[in-house]
Amino acid sequence: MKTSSDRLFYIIILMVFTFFALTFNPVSAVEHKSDYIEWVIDKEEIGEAYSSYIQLPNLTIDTYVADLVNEDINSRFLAVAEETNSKASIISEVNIHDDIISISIVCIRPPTSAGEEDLIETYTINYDITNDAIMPFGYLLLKNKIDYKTLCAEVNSKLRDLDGNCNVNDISDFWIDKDGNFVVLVDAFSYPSASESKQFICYYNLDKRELVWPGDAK
Amino acid sequence: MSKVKKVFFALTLLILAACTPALESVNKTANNADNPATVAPQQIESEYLQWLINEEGTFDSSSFVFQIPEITIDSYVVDCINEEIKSRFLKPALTFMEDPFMDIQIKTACFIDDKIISLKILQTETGYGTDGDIYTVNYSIEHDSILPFSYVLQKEKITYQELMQDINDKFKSQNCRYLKASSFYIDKNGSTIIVITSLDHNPEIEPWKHLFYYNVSNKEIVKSD
Repeated sequence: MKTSSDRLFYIIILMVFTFFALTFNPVSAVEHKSDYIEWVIDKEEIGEAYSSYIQLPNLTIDTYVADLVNEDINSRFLAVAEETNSKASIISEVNIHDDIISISIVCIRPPTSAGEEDLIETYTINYDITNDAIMPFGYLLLKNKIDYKTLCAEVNSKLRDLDGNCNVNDISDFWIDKDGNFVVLVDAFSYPSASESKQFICYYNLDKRELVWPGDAK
Repeated sequence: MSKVKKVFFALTLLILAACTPALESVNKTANNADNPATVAPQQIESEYLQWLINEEGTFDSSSFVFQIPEITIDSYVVDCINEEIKSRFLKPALTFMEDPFMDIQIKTACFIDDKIISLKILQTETGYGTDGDIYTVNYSIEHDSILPFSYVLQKEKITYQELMQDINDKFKSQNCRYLKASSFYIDKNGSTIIVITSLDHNPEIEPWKHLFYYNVSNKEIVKSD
């Protein structure tokens, strides 16, 4: 017969196990939406000088449009994901709000030569489960009751607060973060007067009205 | 153009922005004999598309072309597409009517059959820094969804890597930086065209955003028109 101290011991063991499982498994930090999402690749490679995470989601929904979504993701990232020792990280986030599956993928590749910066590729797609449709950028505009030109001006103003020589290059993609915030993908460039212009990617959290950088968005 | 006509035209645009009226009313304005500064430059023969505004002419000393369409299919996805078109292009048209200090063109190219509506809208101004603001959308009538880039891969039976390699090879000699295959559309001949943007910056001058079009079928590049 178990004594109360035995029960306490088992409870403590269970709590310690749960703590370690949640803390030290990096994949558990990503929400798995098992009904609609499967992970084509979900692995971690730890090297001596680097660690890389590869997480590539696909929709489990069997329709023509969902197939197009999966092909869109796989065609861009699967080759990089399957490359061994590529040192690339592919970090994905999948969130579901209002029946929209929102997928954000950031692929970070280390520079091929000294002095260069990481190559960052971003990708987003938003799939409406109920209507079996990929949602256009106008969905963000309608939902947030914001005008496209006003949005561009707002992002431009935020960029120039950081650096006076920054400009929006293109705004046409978005995703929805885990808190349900609409996040705009911003393709921007800086043009320092003494050197060549440089293109960069950042996010604009429309609900918080703040710029976020890839990698800090989670 | 007289002040009365100027106010009339600006009011028409304002009403368009607010109510999104039908093509017929816009064409009536364009064909109005009392309004000789404007003509209807292009017709669309499709039940799926109509003009929000379809006029060209001169305003004070500046010229304008406004071809701003909307899709007439009753769906939420289409509502979202139309919202973006209005939001991106109707406002500059209004701004021009308030202060016509430069020439402006908002031109639409479209491909429509029973299965797909493909639109390219390009806004160019006499200014500096860019070949223009381009918007493309490809809407599947059959599936009531926009079509992602993978549609091109299926249609053209090519992999993403092969396509990007082809594009990069074509641009090797052109000294372009930050090449980005940003979107696609179907042209009037049914060819798939990839829109490519690049950014050039000589430190002595302002940066310039270039637009190129890559025809996937014949693998040719066309510079922005």
